[in-house]
Amino acid sequence: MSWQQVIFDILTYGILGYSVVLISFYLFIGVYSIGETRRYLRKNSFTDYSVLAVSTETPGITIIAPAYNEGATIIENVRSLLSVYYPNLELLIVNDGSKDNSLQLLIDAYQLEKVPVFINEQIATKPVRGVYKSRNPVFSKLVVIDKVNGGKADALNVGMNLATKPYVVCIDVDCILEEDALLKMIKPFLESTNKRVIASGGVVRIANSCEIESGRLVKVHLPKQFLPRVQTLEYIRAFLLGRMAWSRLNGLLLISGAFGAFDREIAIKAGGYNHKTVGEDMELVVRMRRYMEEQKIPYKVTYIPDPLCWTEAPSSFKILGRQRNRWTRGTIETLSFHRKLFMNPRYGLLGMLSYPYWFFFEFLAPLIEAIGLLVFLVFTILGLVDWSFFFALLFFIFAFGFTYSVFAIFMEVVTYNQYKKRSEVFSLFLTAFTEPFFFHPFVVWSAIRGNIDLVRKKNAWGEMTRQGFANANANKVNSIPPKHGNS
Amino acid sequence: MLYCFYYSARRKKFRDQKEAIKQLIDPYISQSVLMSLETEETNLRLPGFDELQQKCKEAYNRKVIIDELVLARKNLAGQAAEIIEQLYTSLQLQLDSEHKLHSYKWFKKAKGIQELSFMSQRRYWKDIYKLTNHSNEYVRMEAQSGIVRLVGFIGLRFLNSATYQISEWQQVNLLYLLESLPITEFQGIERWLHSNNKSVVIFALKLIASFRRYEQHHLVVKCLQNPEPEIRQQAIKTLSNIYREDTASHIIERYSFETWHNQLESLKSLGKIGEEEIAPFLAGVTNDPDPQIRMEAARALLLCTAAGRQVLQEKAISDQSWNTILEQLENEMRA
Repeated sequence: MSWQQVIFDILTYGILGYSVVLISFYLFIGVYSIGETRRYLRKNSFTDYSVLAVSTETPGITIIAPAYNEGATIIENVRSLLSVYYPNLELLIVNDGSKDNSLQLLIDAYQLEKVPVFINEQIATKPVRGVYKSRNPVFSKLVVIDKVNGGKADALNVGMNLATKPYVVCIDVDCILEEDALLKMIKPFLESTNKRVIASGGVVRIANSCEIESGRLVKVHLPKQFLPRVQTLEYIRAFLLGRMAWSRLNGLLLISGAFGAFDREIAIKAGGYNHKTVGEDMELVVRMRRYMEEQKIPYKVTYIPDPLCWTEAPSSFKILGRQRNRWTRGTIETLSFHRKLFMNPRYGLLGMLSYPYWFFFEFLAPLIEAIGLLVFLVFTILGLVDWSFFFALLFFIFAFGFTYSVFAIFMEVVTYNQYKKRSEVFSLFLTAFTEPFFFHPFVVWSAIRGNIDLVRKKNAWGEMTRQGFANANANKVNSIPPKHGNS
Repeated sequence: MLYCFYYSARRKKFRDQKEAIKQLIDPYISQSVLMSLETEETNLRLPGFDELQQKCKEAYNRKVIIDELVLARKNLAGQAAEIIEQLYTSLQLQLDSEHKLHSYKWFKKAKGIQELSFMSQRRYWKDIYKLTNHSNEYVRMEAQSGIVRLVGFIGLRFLNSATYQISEWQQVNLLYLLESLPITEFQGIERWLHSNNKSVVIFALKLIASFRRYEQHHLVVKCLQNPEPEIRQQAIKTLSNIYREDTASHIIERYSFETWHNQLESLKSLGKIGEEEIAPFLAGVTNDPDPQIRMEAARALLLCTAAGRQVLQEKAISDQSWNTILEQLENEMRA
């Protein structure tokens, strides 16, 4: 056997073996998520959330929404958040040293005045310049904090320090929450009797092309543009299959930064958000879990499949590329900070399954895919490719990916059925068909660039220009300044 | 893909069918409720009843009608509610709910309990009571709520034998249900306070607080020495609702042995119930190294003692941060 043949076999069978394990995981996730979703829906069919809305025993929640240069939409965004239905609520807007007039706009619109507040700095942060509350009792839930710019993680930590309620919900200020989102989010924290629920995630859905009125989502539509639509499919797959399965295993490592609830005490004890990473949302969950494992306290990270939060997805390759680049860097940084967990039986499922899964199939997957492509090109030049086998395998992979997406769409149809028109479901199928050709390669490329940027120590958050929901012209898009472009 | 479209179409068909039934039942309910204002009679047979009965031959229609009736019953009381219940039995829908109650599937069982209890089907109380300690948490929770809905405070008897923990969520539900009932004397609190089930003790303490059972004050004080910190915390909270002259001294006596959380809770309670004589104690606590404890002690000082302000002002002379605390607390009190 020649040395070329040995290398060929190692690479071929290595990549094949990796793919088989990855596909097995996907199959497991798909099947395992069904039971959890079914159980949740059945349970929900006789749950009355309105009890929480009127009970005097309802625990308090603080919403923390960091804002950076959001002047164009901040008033509307805050109004939308104030309309969320929850009896024991505090809304903290953290103005992270915006360079625009966000603060003044808030002061004028909500009749704010500076109030003296003693800050118990349980997590070290950049200085707070002032705390503002409204003179108008209608806005008594609202607290605006003005601080020196320090990035999203730092702004969230200031919110953690100043929150007065036992649970915090961290969200992006421009997210649109369903009216009963908090009633549903708090339930897992109250339900568990033998394990402490330290965090709970909610589904984030794509709001592009949806109809928004006065900060409320009134009608759901499938995004008309290709990129937001393919991300809709991606989110359905991730939230309805992936996270449900991981939640059932109690192995969730990520709660979306756009919408997540936390036990404030544990979040603070674990050290709050880490401002040294661009993946602060995942890092916090990993650290909280690690803290609980080290303290040997039984705990759970839960997840709710109801569509509770709506956000705008990037609609240009440029912005999408920045987002995926940042996600990759955040994942690698988190995995690097917590490398001690890797295959460490002391950390149970966290160390033996969740962490290795993220390492091998979230961090390494794009790299292996890229290596596979390069190897394929080299082998093609050397004439070593068995073309009939190659096409059979290519067809299998494509068919598997497509079937997995179709299954996710089916789960969406039988559960929440947000896209009711037959044309929308058909459009989702078509998107699933085209995704591997146009979207997937770009995502892999962005992830590789994320790896390169990390090596080159480029740690910028990446400017995330969003088009915005509010518009005088029938709620179509308009332009707002950069979103939280801190570095 | 084809199945997905087929499923969508089937779903649409059911949605349309549901809409048609709702168009029939909703006006009927509204009409019945309006009639209840004019007559004492609860067994009303309005035009449209026969059509409803006809529709009830199909299982899916019965399901929709039950759901609509339960929804209406949740929002109604008095004679209007009785009319809804009467309609439910006239259409023999309790048989469907009974079938669910005896199902092996947990979610059907739970649904059946909910329907029967909302429709005040008291003759099923024994069947429902047996399920109050069921191994499935959702069946158990619905049975506990259901029995309280059916027989009121007497239904709390399930606490005598509850071996599973009662979640906070379930406690919120039960308290909400009980608060909507006419207040009657209920027995068993002493027994529940001695339960081996931690959640039963906590729930009993919440009951004492909610229904202001002052006569149980001595038993609550005893709970301050319970080995479980969560029970002690609830006891501290409860005492602030049924306080007497000596309550503050009991809380202060236990203060130094308490966990950080319970110390904080003690200070909150003292802020509500304390009087002038606890000022020296609170002034001492304002020297605690923990900022949250200091803050809560200062709040209690300002809330319940006249000398509080002066104590804090004196502290502000040597430490500027007390100025901010004082201003913040005064601002809070003004609000």
